[in-house]
Amino acid sequence: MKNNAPASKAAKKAQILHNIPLYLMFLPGAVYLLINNYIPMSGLIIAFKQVNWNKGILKSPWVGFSNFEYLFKTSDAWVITRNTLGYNLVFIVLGTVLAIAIAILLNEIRSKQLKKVYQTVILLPYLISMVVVSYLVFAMLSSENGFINLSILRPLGLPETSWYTEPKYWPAILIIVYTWKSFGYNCILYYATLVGIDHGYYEAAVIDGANRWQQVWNITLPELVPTIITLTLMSIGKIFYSDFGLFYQVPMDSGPLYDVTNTIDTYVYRGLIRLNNVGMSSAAGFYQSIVGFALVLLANFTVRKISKENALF
Amino acid sequence: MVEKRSAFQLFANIFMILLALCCLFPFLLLVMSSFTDETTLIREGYSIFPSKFGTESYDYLWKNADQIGRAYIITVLITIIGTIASLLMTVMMAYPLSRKEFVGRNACAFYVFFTMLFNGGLVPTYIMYTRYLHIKNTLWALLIPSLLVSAFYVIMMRTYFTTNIPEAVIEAARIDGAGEWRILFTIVLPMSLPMIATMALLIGLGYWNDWKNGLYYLTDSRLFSIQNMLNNMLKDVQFLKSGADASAASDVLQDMPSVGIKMAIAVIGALPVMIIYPFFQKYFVKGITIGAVKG
Amino acid sequence: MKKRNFAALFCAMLAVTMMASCGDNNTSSNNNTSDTSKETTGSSESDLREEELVTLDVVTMSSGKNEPDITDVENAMNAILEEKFNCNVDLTFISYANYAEQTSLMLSSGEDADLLPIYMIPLPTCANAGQIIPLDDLLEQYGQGIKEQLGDYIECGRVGEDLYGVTTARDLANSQGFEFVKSVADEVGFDYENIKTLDDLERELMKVKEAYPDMWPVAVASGENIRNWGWDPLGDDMINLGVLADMATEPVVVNLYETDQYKDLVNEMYSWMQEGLIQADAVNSTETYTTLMSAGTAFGGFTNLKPGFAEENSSSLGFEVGVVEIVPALACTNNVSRATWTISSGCDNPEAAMKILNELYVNPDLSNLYMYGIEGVHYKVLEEGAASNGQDIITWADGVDATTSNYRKSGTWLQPNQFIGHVWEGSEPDIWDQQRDFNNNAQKSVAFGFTYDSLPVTNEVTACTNVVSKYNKALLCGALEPESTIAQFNEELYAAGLQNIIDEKQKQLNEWLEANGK
Repeated sequence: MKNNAPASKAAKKAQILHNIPLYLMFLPGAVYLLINNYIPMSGLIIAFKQVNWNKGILKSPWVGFSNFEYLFKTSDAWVITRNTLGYNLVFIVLGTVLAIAIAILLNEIRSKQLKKVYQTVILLPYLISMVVVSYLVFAMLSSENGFINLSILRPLGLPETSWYTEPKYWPAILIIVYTWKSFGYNCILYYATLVGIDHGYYEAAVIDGANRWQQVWNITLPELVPTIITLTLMSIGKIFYSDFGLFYQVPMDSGPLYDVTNTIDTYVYRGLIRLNNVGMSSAAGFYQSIVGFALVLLANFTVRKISKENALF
Repeated sequence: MVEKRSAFQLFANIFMILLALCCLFPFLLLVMSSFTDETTLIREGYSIFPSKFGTESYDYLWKNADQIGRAYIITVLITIIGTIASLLMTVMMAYPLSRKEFVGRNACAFYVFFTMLFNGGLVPTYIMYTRYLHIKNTLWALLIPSLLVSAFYVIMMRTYFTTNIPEAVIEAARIDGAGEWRILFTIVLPMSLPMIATMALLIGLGYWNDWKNGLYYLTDSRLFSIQNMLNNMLKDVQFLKSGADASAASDVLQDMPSVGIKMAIAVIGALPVMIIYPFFQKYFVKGITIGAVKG
Repeated sequence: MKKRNFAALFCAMLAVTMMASCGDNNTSSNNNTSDTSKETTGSSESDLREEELVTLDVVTMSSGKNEPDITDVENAMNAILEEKFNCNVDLTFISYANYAEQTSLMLSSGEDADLLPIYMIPLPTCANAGQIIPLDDLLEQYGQGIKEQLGDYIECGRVGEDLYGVTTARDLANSQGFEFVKSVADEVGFDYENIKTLDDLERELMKVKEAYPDMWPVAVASGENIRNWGWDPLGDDMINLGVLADMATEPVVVNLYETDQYKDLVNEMYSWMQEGLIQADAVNSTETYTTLMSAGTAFGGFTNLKPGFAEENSSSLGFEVGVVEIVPALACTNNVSRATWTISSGCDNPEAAMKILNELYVNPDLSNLYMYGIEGVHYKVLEEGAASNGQDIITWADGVDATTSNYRKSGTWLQPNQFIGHVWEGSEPDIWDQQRDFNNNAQKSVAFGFTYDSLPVTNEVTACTNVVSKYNKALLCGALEPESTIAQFNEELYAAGLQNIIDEKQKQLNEWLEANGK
């Protein structure tokens, strides 16, 4: 045992020397992240200060956790946390399942032309900015000229709905809009992994007489697992964040819908737009990050226990 | 068996067509509304078959052709340069992280991933870039901040390398005397074309759709990208909403672009991507088998 | 091991220390002011010249379009400034939409802006955050012209003891009323001469409704139907957390949402909505009501008024509009302090900044250049000396118009003093005097000049702001049933800590009243 240690140390040293080209490759990106992310990260202390820019951040007075108070000392705290978490969980599960299903389906399509058309079209929604999406949703739901009221409900003789004042429909609407806008994006990520799978596996499976389902189940899905885990872990890190455009602009900031559309981001935005308090907005960001961080560590730890290979770090 | 297969193909195609229609319909609505007569648009709302067509929106854009043309050139330029630089750095970061013998692999992966979770907020980043790197009102401002290396892409790329590039291939190359750089560029990358193409597409889209850097780091409107222009127009309405007084309101009204114009800009902002996308697609179908590499 | 590395990294980050401490600026500005107090007693023209050429970044708002001729205008302005003060300006224009965001970044970093108007960001926030410097001493030395021009209104830029911002010359009071399409009004006999109250207006709007069933009598701009309907929001514009109600004659802070004034207003709007007088999509309209007026789908909408409002809007909309005033002009601090010129704490040479600012308030030539560009290139004189302030009536220069001009008039109300400059064709020749009179004759709130600082109650403000945006807009559009909603609204407001805000405001107001001997 004792004899072993120096030897392994030497081996490690040799290994590091051997790795030098790899370190060099890693370096440019690392430097960029240092400049773009790590140095500005020192700004996180703003969350614990009452900033006076004239004195500089370091010399500004400490205020402990008082910048955080507004996030918790409100009766809305429960609602915004529930909404943020709830929607994100649905988005993660639904987004993943749908994207994988469609990626597999796309892969099975034999006509090359059609395949290309589908691939192009499903990415379309991702290209439209959220504000424009909110206009399109309004075009559907407006009570005066909306497509649904005018062209569907009225001809069917059904009572028209004032969509922007009825909270009960909005969880579904938001989930549909989110899914519609983002599945193409997730889909092509999975699709890229799919087409990269070694054809040899499938050929072997066909020879063994495996049918399509068995191929998907035994080859495709296991091959996708690392990608699924990676994407999910990254989503978990962002679980306390929400897409501002989706929750603010798409419901048109309609007051009666707040119970189902107010998330941490929209709450902070509305609350601070008049105050312009940088300490409090940093505090919100810090809170969102730290929760995400804790959850990711936990999730990653769990993944590590099961399969070390698939853990993020 | 054959029948069963074609039945499946039929089902799959029908499903995909329906899905495609869902994606296409709102986009079509967008295009049609940009071709709708302005008054009709306000009176009757958006419609696939408007009662009166009009090209005022595009006339307006045409009148501002020099400004929009410049924004277009800038957007294209930034997207191309940005995508290439970003892709290169992403791949170079991801590859070492995918190698098991890379000492400090976990720490490095953590170093990358951590940037996804925490950020110091806008103000410190702004100070960094304007005070120390002086990129304000230069084209660097559209190129560098936040977009150049994203932890998300690095980690996706790494996952792809670990799952899809067999250890044996790299080992074989090493025994043949290839160095790490050569392995990366002549063996690993050609085997990863589907993912590289995907990454290029997504990174490119990131650059194409970005308006935030323009918002923070540009005051000179000559450097604006297409998305900056669109975003400014969309935000003018919100400006009125946010409590402008009488003087401000009547001032903004003069320059307020109509709905049709906003839609038209959204269309010309999205269209080029649709034209370029099929070009990437040929890389999606080139799955490579190990046999092919060995041979 | 890993932990230690990160600690080291973090220390390194702090050391690189970004963090923009403009600390040195602070001390330098103090020193400078004391220096200058020595030298400037009885300053003559030549004393005002800086020893070395000073260049200052001057920021303001514009339409966000390309202004290729900025450099030419800059040079023309510098010719004046260099001779007088040995100063140059470097002009930056930011579009409306981005203004608040970009200026707040500039102020935090202390870069790129020396002299700028704060707009849409509360003045106390900037002052408390040390982003801007107190101006009293500088004004005393170099800003007499500003004081003369603004009179009483200058007091509204005070935060606590110190003056931080000087307002721009524009409509500094708000009267409230209704704007409408004139041709339709004349056709249906809309009797705008005799409308004094909302009930009068309702009666007349019914005529429109009958004659044009397809036209909304009242359209709403982006969900904002009515604001500040005769109360002083004491700094909380649009959210109204603790106000002086009923034309702000009594210094008693109350909860607006419990007053009869508010309830009556909301009930009225609700019944209008039921009668089909208000646009059905009012709460989430994506267009301004003027767009709908242009398209012929709306008759009019509620708005803030000022002198010359109808003329100005008629020319920008391309058809004639009329207005009726329903709530007379009320002057509140936050109308005035909403747009004030300030000197950033990152400014290395505050005296020079104040000299330039003062010159912009008093020198018509300089001001005209800044607002309208160069004569003969960007504008031409129609009638020389025809404006009541002795300036000219002007219009676009030959061969250019609003879309082709390389330097366009826009945001002149945010430039220091439009009252001393030219008058644009279409406005009445005495428009600036009308606005000045309007400001001087407006009823002043008892808290006029009092600036409230929300710092002690920030938690309550964020919570209450969320509650207000949940209900207020929809209530004022008449979209929610008033009785039960208002009760619930108030309940949530108190749960969110409204009483603390009201108490804090009352306390600060009392202190202010006492200090000012009122």
